[in-house]
Amino acid sequence: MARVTHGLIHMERFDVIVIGAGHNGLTAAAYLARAGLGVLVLEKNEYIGGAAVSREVEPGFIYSSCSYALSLLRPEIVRDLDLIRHGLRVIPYHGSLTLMGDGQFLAASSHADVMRREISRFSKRDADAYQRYSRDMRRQADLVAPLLIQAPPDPASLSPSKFRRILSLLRDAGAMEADGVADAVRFWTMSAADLLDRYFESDVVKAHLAASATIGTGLGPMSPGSAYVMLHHRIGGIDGAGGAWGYVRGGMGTVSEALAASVQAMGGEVRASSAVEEVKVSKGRACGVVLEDGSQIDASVVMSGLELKRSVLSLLDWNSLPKGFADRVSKFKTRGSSAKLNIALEGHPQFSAVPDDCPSLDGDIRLCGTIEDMEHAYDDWKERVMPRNPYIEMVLPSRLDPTLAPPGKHVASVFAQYVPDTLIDGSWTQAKRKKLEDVVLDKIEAAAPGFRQKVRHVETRTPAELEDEIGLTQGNIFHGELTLDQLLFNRPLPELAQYRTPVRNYYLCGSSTHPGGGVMGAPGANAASAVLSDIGMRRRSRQSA
Amino acid sequence: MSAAANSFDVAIIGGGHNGLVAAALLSKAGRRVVLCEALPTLGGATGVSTLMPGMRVPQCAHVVSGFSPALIRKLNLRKHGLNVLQKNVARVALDADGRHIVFGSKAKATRENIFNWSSRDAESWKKFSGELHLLTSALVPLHRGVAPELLPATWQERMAWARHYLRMRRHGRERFQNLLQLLPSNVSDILDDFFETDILKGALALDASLGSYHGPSAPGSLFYWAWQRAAELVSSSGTLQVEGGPVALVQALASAARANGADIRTSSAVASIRIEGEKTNGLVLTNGDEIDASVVISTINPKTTYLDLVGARHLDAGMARDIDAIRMRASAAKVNLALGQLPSFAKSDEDLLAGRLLVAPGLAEVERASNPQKYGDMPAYPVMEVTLPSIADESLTPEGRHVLSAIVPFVPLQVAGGWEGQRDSLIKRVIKTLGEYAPDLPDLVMAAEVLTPKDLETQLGVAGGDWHQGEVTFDQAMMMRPVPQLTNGTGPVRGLFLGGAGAHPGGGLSGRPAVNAVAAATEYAKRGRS
Repeated sequence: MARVTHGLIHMERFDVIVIGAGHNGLTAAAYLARAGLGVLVLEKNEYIGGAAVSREVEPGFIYSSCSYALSLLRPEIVRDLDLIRHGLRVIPYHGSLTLMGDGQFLAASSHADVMRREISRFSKRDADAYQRYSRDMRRQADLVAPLLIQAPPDPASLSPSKFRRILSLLRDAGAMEADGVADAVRFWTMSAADLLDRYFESDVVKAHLAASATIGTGLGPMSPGSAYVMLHHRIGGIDGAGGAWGYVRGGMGTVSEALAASVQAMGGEVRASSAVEEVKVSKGRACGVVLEDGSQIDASVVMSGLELKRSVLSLLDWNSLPKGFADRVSKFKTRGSSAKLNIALEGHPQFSAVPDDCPSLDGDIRLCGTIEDMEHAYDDWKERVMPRNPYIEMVLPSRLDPTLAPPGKHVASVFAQYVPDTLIDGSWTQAKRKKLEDVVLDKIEAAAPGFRQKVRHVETRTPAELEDEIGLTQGNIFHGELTLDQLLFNRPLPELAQYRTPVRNYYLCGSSTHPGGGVMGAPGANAASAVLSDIGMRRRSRQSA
Repeated sequence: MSAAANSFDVAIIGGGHNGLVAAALLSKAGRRVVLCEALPTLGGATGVSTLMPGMRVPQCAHVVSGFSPALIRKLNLRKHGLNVLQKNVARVALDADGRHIVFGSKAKATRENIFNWSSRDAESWKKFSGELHLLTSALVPLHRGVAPELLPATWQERMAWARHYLRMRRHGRERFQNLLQLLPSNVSDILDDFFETDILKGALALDASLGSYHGPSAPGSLFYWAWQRAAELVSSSGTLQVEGGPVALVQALASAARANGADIRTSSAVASIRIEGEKTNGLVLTNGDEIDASVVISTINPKTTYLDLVGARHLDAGMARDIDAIRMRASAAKVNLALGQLPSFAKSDEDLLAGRLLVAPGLAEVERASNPQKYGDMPAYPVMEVTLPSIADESLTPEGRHVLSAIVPFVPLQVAGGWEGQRDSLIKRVIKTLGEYAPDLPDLVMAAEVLTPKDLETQLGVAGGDWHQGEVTFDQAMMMRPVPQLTNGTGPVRGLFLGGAGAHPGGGLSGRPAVNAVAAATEYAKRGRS
């Protein structure tokens, strides 16, 4: 990282430039800085963090503007990058609440006995089935977990080492016996509704579990493939508690701040308000970037944490790409389906169906109705109309984290599912955004009378805002849909699945790559490994291990 | 009846085409065979209904797709009355204004038809066909014989997987990657990627969805489509139209089986499968008769076979649960019309109208039609596959008259409020839709009938109204069909084999599940003797 004088202009030069200071870009940067490389992270916004961000839009209230809870961040990354020392604190929550809209509710808990008693209110049989379901889900999550923090297997490769890896994965799967392998097929391909029908009879229990299948996807709970989205939300954990979720103290931005601190502690640099216009390519190799202000920075390696289409179609000169490549990239599916409302509240909402001291209020509060209601919302989304009855997931992180709001006041993070990226009658406008806001607030008001009166400030972010502000193409929160044709060795495209691109020294490190979206960090860590292995270095953790 | 008269080598449950294929093959091989069909007639979903005097129409299935020509030869079905009128029945995207697209054996003609709509699409057609063929041809070998084991234990079983891998991998890295990407994809996205013409996308999406519970945007729908196409491709003559309708195939099979001495009994419902020491030794009929046989082949659906006829007490808890969870969901209704004359579809001739007419204005319409069934409703604007069997088959109607047969997908088993009173509204919606293509059609209707999925279940014994005896999705296909514990002739009851559409490789009128069951049963009998 030295300033080199080229004639009259001062040209900066780094070993690695990472485009986008989202959590994956920062993770990649931290690993590379840790390996001794000179790293620069460039962020277009004046704040870092991308979708893992805390913002004080209303004075005194801190919103986790986009992502709002943590589970998937890989423990290896927390350890390797010393994130605890750099300020990361996770406050686990132990429940969640599903409100059916008809007065029925299910107060879920991570304590097995409490959960059992709660499910028994609806069905004794389901209480037994839940044990089976949790065991089967855990087994599948355990099978997936080791796949996350390494490049995806490459079944098309004929190299002996890669082939051995496939065989060893098959052996691991085979160790689950036939019923485990069959379950793997079921969890990866079935619809959430059909999978849950194998276990449960109560509509409330099924709705409660199916809700996570809808988050961020372009699938309904009755679409084949949606069961995987439930699994995707269960492959993480907190402090070794598999599948657990928690809030980050200070909001999700703390994750990014800790990662950035880790980058800087290792000698790397993170620069905000520096939008990259183009990746410089010379003789088929990436050699630096051009910023929007016209300045240029050179680097031996350039990585993009942006979504695939932005990384390729916006940042590269199409002439430098192989024939047909741009076309294939443009077919990557990134349909957005979610909106986010951040709300500052004057007081704690009171849900008419639920006692105020219900501990499950600490977790996510799901206003969902039955699976059929969610599927109806999905049918509306397919027609690209304004949602009439969206699925709503709301959290009140200020219940557990007093740093987020003044005493007695609260922040609510509200996620609304099946919101099209463009509407049938055109793109999102101010008026349509207001309409959506009303639909969501009215639905909450129905469950918690008096809610609207407590609202002090609302920030509504449709897929259009998510795209404009933090570059989520079409507002897709996962940087690309989580369907099997875009997962594992297919993510984002088969030829890009190993984090490398047709442009040498240009790498992908965002959620478009394996293992996909969520505040996981694994794509960044895996991409860093690919870079290090290409330049003949190995990740330090491997050396010491 | 004397005891000897009820003693056989093999007892077959179900007199559909699969049961009859098994009966014909086994009796030809010299086995003493009895076949028990619960209904008074044979044929299951291949029956013929008489709409009005002299006007007959295939009641349910209206073409014979994927039946093996080798079986036709081997069982000498032509001698037993099978008369093939049309091979490779073409699919036609029907257009109200006459710009039809014929998907026949001539790719060039198809491209020219598409060119009338869009030059870009005509160009894409070749590439699209290539991709679809890549996937379909990869699946063809999986239709032949048994599926590879879910969890290969022996060296041979692993080699079977290795062979499938090498076969798919041998065309190079890129094509293999492409294949892995296509396999879990959905029909809508791939059609949108390639084409812009609504009617083209609509017709292909409809073709892809026939018999499926899911609409074209569902992941796995491309696999379903390719799997059905592979079933046709695996037999060299594709889709056949036979004289008299698919029932003629059934009659020829029955005649062939009887000629070899098989005892084929109708109105003989099976009450249970007899089991002694984890082994079957025959059947008990509902009339109290007992049949002795050391081998039983059940061609009715696996769920009824194991939960009702075998009984859950012979199954371990996990298996009983898995079998109970087999999804059999209604996929379509059938509407049959008797017509005073050939309706005037724009710019059409008899050649064109003898095909399988795909009536779907666009992709969105097909997807939209697939929505209501999830909530127990009928599609407001149905899409459908229509045939006019009387064009090629003069035996069905008097001179000049015609019958029309429409398969209407996405109709649920039950509708809210019950079928009574709503059957007519389905007929009306079908006639109204067809009226948009042939304006004179509504006035030509002399008689009409509808066969709802519920009718299929109650009248023809098609459980759940699902003609596949179990949805064809990844978790219920190949080595998972019907459930992993019952694939390839295995199961908790020795001597009992599944030979219906619910077993690998599944539905259509291919007869392959029966062929597989016969092979497994023969092997079992051989081992028993040695």
